[in-house]
Amino acid sequence: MSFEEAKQILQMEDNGSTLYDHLASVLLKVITEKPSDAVTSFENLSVGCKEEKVTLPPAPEDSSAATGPVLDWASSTAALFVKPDEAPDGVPAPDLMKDATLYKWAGVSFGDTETYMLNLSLKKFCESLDGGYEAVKFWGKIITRDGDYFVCYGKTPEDPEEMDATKMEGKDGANKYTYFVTKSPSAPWVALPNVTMAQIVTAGKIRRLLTGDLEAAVPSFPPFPGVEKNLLRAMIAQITADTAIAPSGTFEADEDGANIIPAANEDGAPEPKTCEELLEAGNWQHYELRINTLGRCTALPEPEDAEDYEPPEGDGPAGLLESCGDEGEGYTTGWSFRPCPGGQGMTSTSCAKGVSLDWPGAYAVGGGNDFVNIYVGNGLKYAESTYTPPLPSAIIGEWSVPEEEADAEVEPGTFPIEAKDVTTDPTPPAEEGEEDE
Amino acid sequence: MKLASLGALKALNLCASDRSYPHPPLPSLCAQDISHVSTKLGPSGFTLSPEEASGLEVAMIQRQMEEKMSSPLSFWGKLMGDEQDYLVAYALAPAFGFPTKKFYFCTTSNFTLKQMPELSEEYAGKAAAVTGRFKGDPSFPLEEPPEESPDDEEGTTESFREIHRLSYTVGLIDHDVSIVPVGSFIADAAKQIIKNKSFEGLSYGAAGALRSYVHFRKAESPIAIASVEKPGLSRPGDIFDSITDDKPAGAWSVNYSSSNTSSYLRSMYWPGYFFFQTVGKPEYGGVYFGNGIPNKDLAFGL
Repeated sequence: MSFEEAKQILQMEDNGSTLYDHLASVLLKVITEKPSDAVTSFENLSVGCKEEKVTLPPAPEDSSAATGPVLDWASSTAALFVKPDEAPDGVPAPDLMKDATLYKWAGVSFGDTETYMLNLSLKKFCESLDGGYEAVKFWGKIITRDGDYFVCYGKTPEDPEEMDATKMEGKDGANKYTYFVTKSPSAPWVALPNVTMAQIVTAGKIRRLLTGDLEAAVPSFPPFPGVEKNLLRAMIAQITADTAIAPSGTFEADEDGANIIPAANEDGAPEPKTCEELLEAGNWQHYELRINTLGRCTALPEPEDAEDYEPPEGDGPAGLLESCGDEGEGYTTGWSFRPCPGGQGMTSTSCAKGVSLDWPGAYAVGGGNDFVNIYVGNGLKYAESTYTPPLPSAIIGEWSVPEEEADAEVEPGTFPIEAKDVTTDPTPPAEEGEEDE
Repeated sequence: MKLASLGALKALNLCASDRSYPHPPLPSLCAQDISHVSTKLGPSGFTLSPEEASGLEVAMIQRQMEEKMSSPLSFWGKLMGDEQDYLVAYALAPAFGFPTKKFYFCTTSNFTLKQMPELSEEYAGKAAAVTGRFKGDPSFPLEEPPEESPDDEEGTTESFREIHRLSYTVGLIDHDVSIVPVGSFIADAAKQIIKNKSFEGLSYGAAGALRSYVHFRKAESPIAIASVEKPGLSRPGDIFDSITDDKPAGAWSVNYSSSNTSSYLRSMYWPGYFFFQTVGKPEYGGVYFGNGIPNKDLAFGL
């Protein structure tokens, strides 16, 4: 540390004066008054100097750097707490405070106050929402490089207009739900666009972290067809399809065997499973449509004009209400189930927590007739090994003699023979005299 | 440091002053860092369940009293395994130059904190070669047991187990991501790293800048080493390695919380490491909630 730096520290402003000035005035006092006990009474000399100069603390500065953003946040958040005069119509909001208790057993929490603000935010959003959404549910949070996206969803009321059924699915497939995101409880919720097959397939081949800007470009190989909001939507589609699980028996297929509906017996609700039963992976079921390798939940529509139509490989529904106990290659199951509370605290009414091993951050908690699914993570699937980008597609073959010519001149099985070199100029330059004219 | 910002830091200061006071003050209970988990870690999205929080709180106090530690135990993080999770705590032990960290762990099925084993070079090499998720069982063997280990009464022939990998991984993560705000720790005249008691937190602008944070580890960059070793006082920002030099650029992300009253950092290389800093207050701490696997694909993700 140099002398100048040390001096700078002494000259730091404190309550309107600096230590440097104070020491200078104390020393000046010693030199002018020449006390014999300067060391013994040093404190008194210092106090004496301070008494001579009474100062009021300076008024706080009007605009510190933090005031603006904090005040903006406080004003917009305070608006969430205002109760409207008339209860507006709207869509039923999720009871986030009740679910948060279950999230906590999974080890997920957004903080007590933040959760409550999120609850208010969802409620307000639902009041403003119409267009046939049945109910809104909370999905989780995706961590990005700049802020996080809170995600909620509602059942898509209608198929998107001008939908090409061979490129994307409507409300019976991957676009069954419309997802909404916000970066803060006090910010508005924004609807994500519908997802296409190509987006789901490409999202599975790349490992990009989100930037926190919905409109940001997604530079990747293979090229991603869309911007960040499309990638986010595709990530959500894959995570939902893989990690939405419920105690088996909660859902059943409808009469067509194509859709999943909540199961109901004569008493209305299915028999709840005990905690010990829920520790078995076989007693859990996927209750959302799975996504096949083509990025679809349902089979491709058959073209009307083609007579002998062969569906591409991997086409067809990827499974309905599969049990969690059946899946996973290389290990027994993609889930780990634990009681919570366990150990000495375990009772017959304990919840069971399902931890997804494939999607770090995806949890399911079930107990009694309640169950929740929650995801908190960066949207990347667990990978056994280091990522290798896919190779570019094969180089296009060199030009060769078209088949009919080859058949005419060359016998099958032999290579075309190279023609003789052209030794004369095929386009001789015109004579000079002609050009001048 | 870490969650126990206040408690552990106080403790660190005790360590530094142990040299001058023959009777260090009695250890103070440091359970409040667990309560930080529910109040300060909101933006991270993760927390300890009531069972884990209470079990760990008791285990930490017990271990601290039994070992008569001069510094309180602080919560370090949770490392998730396939069957069980590990809860990790640490204590700062006095050492010349830079305090050393002693790590303790327990699983979520048995809340008894045990010290992590010291690793030989052989085991560290083996641990570095293991890939995949953690199992969650500290005694899970990661290699074929030696042939001449009969099932005799002793029965505990030392072999490479998951506990060794855990010890290695926690050390690695701590080395890479353990950070503090600039100015919260200083080098005293005797070149000991001590807590700066008059640290008052970072201003709003500084809290949102990467250059305001440094690695809390023994200096490794030549500039920082030279700054610690040169005679005279050193600037607090110079004696640690800056996180702005971490590769690749983008390995850290820094943000303000939604209320803008605190800022937080995340490591993109170790997904799950979360550090918070309250604007204008000496409140800060970091915690790890992850599966112990680094994001080696980071270059493709930025």
